[in-house]
Amino acid sequence: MAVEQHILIFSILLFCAGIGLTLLGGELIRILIGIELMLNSANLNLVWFTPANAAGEGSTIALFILVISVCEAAVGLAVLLRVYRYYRTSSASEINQIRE
Amino acid sequence: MAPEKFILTLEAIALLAVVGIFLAKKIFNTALFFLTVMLCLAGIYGFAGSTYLFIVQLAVYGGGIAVLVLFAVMITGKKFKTNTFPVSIWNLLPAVLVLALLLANLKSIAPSAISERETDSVLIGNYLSDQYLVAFGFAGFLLLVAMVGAIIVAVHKPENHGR
Amino acid sequence: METILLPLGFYLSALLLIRPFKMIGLNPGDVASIFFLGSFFSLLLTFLTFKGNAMVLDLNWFRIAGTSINFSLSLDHQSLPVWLFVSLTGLAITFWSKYYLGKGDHERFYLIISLFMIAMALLLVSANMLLTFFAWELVGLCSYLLIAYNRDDAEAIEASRAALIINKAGDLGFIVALMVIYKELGTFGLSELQTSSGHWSNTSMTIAAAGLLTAIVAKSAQFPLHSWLPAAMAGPTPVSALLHSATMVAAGVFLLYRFNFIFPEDIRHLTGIIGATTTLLGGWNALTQRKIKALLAYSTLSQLGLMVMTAGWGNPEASVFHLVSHGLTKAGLFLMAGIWMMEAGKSTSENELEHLGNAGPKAKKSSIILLMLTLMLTGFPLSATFLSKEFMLSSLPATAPRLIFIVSSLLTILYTGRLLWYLKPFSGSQQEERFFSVKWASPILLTILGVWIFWNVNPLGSGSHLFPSVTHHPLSDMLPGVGIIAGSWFALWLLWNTELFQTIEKYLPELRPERLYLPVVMALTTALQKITLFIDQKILDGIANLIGYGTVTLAHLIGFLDRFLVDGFILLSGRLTKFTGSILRRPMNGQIAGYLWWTVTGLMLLLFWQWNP
Repeated sequence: MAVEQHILIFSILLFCAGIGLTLLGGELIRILIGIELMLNSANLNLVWFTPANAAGEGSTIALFILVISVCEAAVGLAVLLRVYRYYRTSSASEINQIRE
Repeated sequence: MAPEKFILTLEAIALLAVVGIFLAKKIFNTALFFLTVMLCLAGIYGFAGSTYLFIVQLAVYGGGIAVLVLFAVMITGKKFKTNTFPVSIWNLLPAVLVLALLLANLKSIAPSAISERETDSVLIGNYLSDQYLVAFGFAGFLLLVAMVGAIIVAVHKPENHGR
Repeated sequence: METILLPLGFYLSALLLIRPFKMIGLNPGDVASIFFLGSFFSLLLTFLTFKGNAMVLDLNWFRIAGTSINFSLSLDHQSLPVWLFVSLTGLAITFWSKYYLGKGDHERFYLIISLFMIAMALLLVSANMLLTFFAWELVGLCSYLLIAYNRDDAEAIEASRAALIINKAGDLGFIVALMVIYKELGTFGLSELQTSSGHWSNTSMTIAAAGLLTAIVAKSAQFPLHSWLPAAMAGPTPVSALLHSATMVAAGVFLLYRFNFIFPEDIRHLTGIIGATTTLLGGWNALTQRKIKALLAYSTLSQLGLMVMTAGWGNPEASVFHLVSHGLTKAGLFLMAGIWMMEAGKSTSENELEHLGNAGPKAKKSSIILLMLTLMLTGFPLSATFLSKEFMLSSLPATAPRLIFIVSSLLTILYTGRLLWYLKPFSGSQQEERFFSVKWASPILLTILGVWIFWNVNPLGSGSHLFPSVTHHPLSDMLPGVGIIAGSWFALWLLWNTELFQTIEKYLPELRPERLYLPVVMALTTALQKITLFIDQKILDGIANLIGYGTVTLAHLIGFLDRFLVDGFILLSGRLTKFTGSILRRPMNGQIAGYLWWTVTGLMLLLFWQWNP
């Protein structure tokens, strides 16, 4: 199997794992990790499959995605700390239960 | 060829770590598995010829975010409580559907033209200082805003809202 | 070019200059109103000199890997009248907000309203689908921020979150449409889409249209995703008037009009069915509400349903005319509800109809304006809504849609009659006020614009010269409409003071749709759960155990896995047996994951069904 092919399969698996983690609705940290996984699978594709006429451009855009995911992670974790302080738990389903 | 085998190994490790993220009982281990996935990805970037991204991925994900996640885990999970809340496996159905759809269409989305695998640090530098200059500036600004926002959100003491 | 940029520039300056002007002592409300006024007049000037040629602005937005995306705006016969309407409504309501919000620091409110006006204008004039999507998202964000404007109100915060999440779930459909369109045509430009719409494959078109419809259903609060709109009434009244009755919720209808050419026949049918369901459900719900804002919200739902239904089965242009005429009237009604609540001394959260009728002295003007607006809402002859309703009705091709339309119009008359019955205009002690005050200017302006003369010289015509595809109908076609509306109002007037009204009123809240369909749903759910439990115990247990034991054995055999991995597998296979009950409760529990779950699953099934690239 060509490298491109299994890179593609790998990134698909990574992406779907991200969706799964996000929708599983367990710990908030897992949800954040799921989002990071999805962003990284997109990055992998951008780095690996840039067309020949735009060499390096994929990596550049991947860099921007990285910046945005860093911002998201920082703010997300800050919110997580705040949520934990308020509810004394960081499980999405439990927070939902407490609310109702 | 040697690099191909390296890439395959890295992918296998990363996938095992992903399984670990799903199944780990301690949330601390989840963070460690996440770190593993990110390091493997950095390796794959290196083999793709993107040395710059390799280093950035190592520094940002391996160094920054993973440590941040570990901090969050340590602060929130003092008892290292396991995730015992019943979670329905049906929640995974959309992920499975997406997986099936993408895999079913794998052939049709296989790329045709792929650039030479060469070091692209110079290319990235050129793009950042030319075509994406404004975006680059905004990205820096965004990081600043996110940093200030994160600090305010995390540090700000709420006025007696706790239970 | 400057004709497009000037009005936008006014909004942008409002956004940027509110803070500096506040520092030198000017009220943010006044600053925003003045800029909005400038924007409105520059737009009016464009409108009066408009010759029918589209004014286009085409800038290179960004280039990625050789593909360039343009930042293109187009002010044409589609977007200009609607933008003028949005601009005017925005101006009127912003001006009125100063009265409603009262003393205190409301800079944030005007800032978000300015941002909303920019986003809404971009959404209307955008000639690039990607730009439309950005504006669409921005509008949703503003709605979220404005519903939760009062940060101490837990109910409002909850409602804002529901609105945001439901809209995000719908927006996934928009993204799918964007992906399919880009894959098929390699461009997002409106004009390119129009010229090449005949060339692309039928299945891609169906998927793109279905995705777009999902987004529209969420934003315009149509049937399966409608629950956020009544909840959104927890926000301040000016917000309900501007975003949640007149402009933002109608954006979906405008999109149906603008991208009409990508909607194939079957999706148009689906649109019609969704609209018909919403209009009947909304009308029925409005009839049973106890709060004035909830009643108006469900009435908005019902009217939006009419527009979407007509866009599906009839002429989308007619829906857009109704969007404009209904928007003016409903915004006015919300302002009147606000005035009524203020005069009765009630806050936003306690707006029960029963308490509003007898409390406090009423100004005679408020009674007159209220009566006029309620008549206009029902499409009374001589009003703009009459023209638009006739236009919509005459564009519907078949008997069944026409029947639904008429039933919905009758429901409108019933619930507006109920509103009047509770509010008791022209009763109680009269209070005299100055004619010109901040409070009255906006409702009066909106009421006057609802009169037929601004839209069509013929009071019993159909449609308006602003919307050129109007067909002329003989007077005899209009007479049944006149007869039905006038007759129903006459019947209501005859029954006004009889016992019958009070008796009906006592039982109406018991007839809420939920009361009737929830038992059915519950019975079905229980039956399904029993069936799945049976399958679970007889078949799945065996399989699950097999998987469980197999995993354990395998794990021991390989022997490299940690304890937690094995445990996890056992846990996972154990959970397999518990899934059946939980899937049925999934959509009802209001979790974020629940909405995402349904949308992703639905979109994926759609792609499986239709997509073969």
